[in-house]
Amino acid sequence: MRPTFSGFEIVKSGIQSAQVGLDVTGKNVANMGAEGYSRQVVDQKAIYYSSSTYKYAPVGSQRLGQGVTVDQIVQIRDKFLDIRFRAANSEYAEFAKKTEVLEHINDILDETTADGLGVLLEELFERLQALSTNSGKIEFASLVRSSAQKITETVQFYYNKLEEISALEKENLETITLVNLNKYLDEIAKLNKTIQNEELVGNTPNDLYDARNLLLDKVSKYLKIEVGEYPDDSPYKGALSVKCGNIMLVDPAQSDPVTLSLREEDGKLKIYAGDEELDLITGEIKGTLDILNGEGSFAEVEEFKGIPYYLKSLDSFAVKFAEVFNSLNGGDALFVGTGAKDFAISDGWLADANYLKVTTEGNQDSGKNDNVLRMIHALEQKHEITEKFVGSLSEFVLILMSDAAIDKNYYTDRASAADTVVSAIDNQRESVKGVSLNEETVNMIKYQRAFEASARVMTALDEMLDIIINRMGIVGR
Amino acid sequence: MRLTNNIISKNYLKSLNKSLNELSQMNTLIAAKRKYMNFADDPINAMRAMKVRQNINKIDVYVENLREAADIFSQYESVISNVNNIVSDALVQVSQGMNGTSDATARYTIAQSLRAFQDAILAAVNTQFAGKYIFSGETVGVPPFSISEEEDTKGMLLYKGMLVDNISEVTEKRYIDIGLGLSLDEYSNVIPNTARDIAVTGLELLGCGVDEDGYTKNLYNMLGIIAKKFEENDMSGMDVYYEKLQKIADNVRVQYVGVGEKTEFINFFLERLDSEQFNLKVKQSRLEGLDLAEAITTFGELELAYNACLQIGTKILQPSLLDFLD
Repeated sequence: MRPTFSGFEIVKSGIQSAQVGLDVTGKNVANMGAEGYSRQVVDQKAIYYSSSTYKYAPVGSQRLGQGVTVDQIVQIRDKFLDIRFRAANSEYAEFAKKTEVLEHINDILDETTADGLGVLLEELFERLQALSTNSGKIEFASLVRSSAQKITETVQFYYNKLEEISALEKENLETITLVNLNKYLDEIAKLNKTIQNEELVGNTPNDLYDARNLLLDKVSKYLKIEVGEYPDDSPYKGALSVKCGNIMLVDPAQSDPVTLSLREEDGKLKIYAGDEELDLITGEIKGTLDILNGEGSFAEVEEFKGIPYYLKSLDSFAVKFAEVFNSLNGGDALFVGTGAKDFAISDGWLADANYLKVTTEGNQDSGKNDNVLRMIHALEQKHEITEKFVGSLSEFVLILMSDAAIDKNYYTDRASAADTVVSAIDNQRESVKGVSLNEETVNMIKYQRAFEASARVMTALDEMLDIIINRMGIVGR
Repeated sequence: MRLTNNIISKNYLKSLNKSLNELSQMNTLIAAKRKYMNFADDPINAMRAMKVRQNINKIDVYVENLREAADIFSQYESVISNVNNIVSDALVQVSQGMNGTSDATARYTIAQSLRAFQDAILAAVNTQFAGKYIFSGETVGVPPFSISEEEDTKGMLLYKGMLVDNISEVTEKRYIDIGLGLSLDEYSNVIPNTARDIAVTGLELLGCGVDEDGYTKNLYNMLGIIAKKFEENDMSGMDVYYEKLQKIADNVRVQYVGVGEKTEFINFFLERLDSEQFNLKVKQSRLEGLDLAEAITTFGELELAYNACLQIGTKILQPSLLDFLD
């Protein structure tokens, strides 16, 4: 025996689940362009009979079940691709950052199409040569002086420009990057709590998952992170932990996430999470810190050639340049300054172009040129400019230029390779989670038809009952 | 692969941007006629090109130095030829004066012209060229020759304040760098074969010191002595003086030839630098210069690619199943 109205209940569940299906289709289409959205599908299940329903049913009666139910609405997303995407994204961001800053450094040092320190050294060489054939003539001596002055000013200019870039990057790191990052971590911690609460009451907060994943993607640009999940029997089920190196940035066991801050220690900038130093593996912040800290060959262990490398190189250049020419000028300093920042020609030379000694023997007007030749020689000669560099002054400038260029070239290539990887993974991820208009249209038709069919069954049932109620047993009336 | 509209449009924008970037890059290169615009674009070639450029500039400087030396030598040449003419005239005059037919008046006249020759010679060796006393050896800033006003040596030639008869040897050097790899010895003096010595003292031309018989080897002084003898109409030992003067005249001719050789060396060296310069410029254009024909072909291809990319852009968002529902 089947209950009279059992069929109605079954068909009703069909109608309702078709409506839910259409709602989800609508939502997918509506969110097609939303950043971070993962497509959702309806998880429909047939309701099987429960033995209690059939407790008093005769043996052998058909056990049909009770129609359909929408078990849950799930999002389609591949966690493994998320992990790969974030790892690639961190790496790309580091290389992209280095490429960006190295481009600025190159803009200053590159003399391929513009004139700079290298060209000025050539000019000084040229003018010393002219002085060597015209020694004792003040107009030639003053040409040499103006060349030397241009060199000192250019060294200062390079130094100031590099310091400017360094200051801007530091400010950017402190006031934008870290502020954003702390905000993201804070939001992730808050979402963790909300999601835990939602899951506790049995909901599946798909859109909150998306929001949290999007934030994790953004964090992965700055830092290399590991995202941890908790098993079903854990009190933190549903929450995610965010770890960088060995330090938990977001820990569900703590009420608040750690705050990241920039500190300076022994002349090096470091990122601290609370009171612990963060071990940055890769990411944009790592790129920025390498640029801000990297001393290249000046460090005990050769490291990235960041802005300090170029600043120290300019200092070494200025000191050596002054030392070489001052020692040739018989005690009268031609150049003053303790480094690149205050590198200038001396007041004595500024006041009198003939302060530069063209000869070491007798009268400066005699026309002798022996000391000018010594200066020309010094300009060409190899000097120990830094502990690790022996070569001429113009070679040093060329090396500086090529260091920046080679690094820029290297990181441009790496950034572009990393970009390809990120795009490929992103495409794969999108291929899983993205909304396809064709699919949604098919779903739309599917749910519409299902709805129609259920409604038709309902009508059929109704007509059958009509027969029983109104037309049965009226024979002979 | 499951393809969604977002993937298609994202990829499309990426390739469109890439295509436009390449087009714009090529455009810049063609406008500048260069293979690369930044050191970082091609570090190895840029480094080479930078070195080549430095060498070209250096050679420019050496060429400039050599031209200057050539100018000075051509000036020497004209002065020496001038002096050479004077010496020839003087020899004729002296031989005339020695002739027994000349009387005291005639000899006095000859003496006067010899004095005039002396002045001309002094003026010649004190010549300035481009503000430099070219016969002043290493100290081109000071006039080299003057005439003694002292009682016992009156009228004798002085070189930088010293009697030329007391100078036995000339050791003045004035170097210019012509790209021979200028080097210094341990006393910080130029090593001779690494630079070119362009010092010329008038002493080499006019002669200095005295010979084994105690006669002056200097042209100016010799003319003075002979003039004095003519003034005094004293013909004793005149043939010896004449013989000595002839020797001095020979030396002037030797100097004349010598300066020609020096000029030749400079011209030879200039030619060498010229061909070196040419080779470097060829190398430079190979390293930096853009092959326009090839570049414009590439540009055409890139342009075509970009246009094609734009054209498919209008069709990239293909209709979906949605468009075919009734």
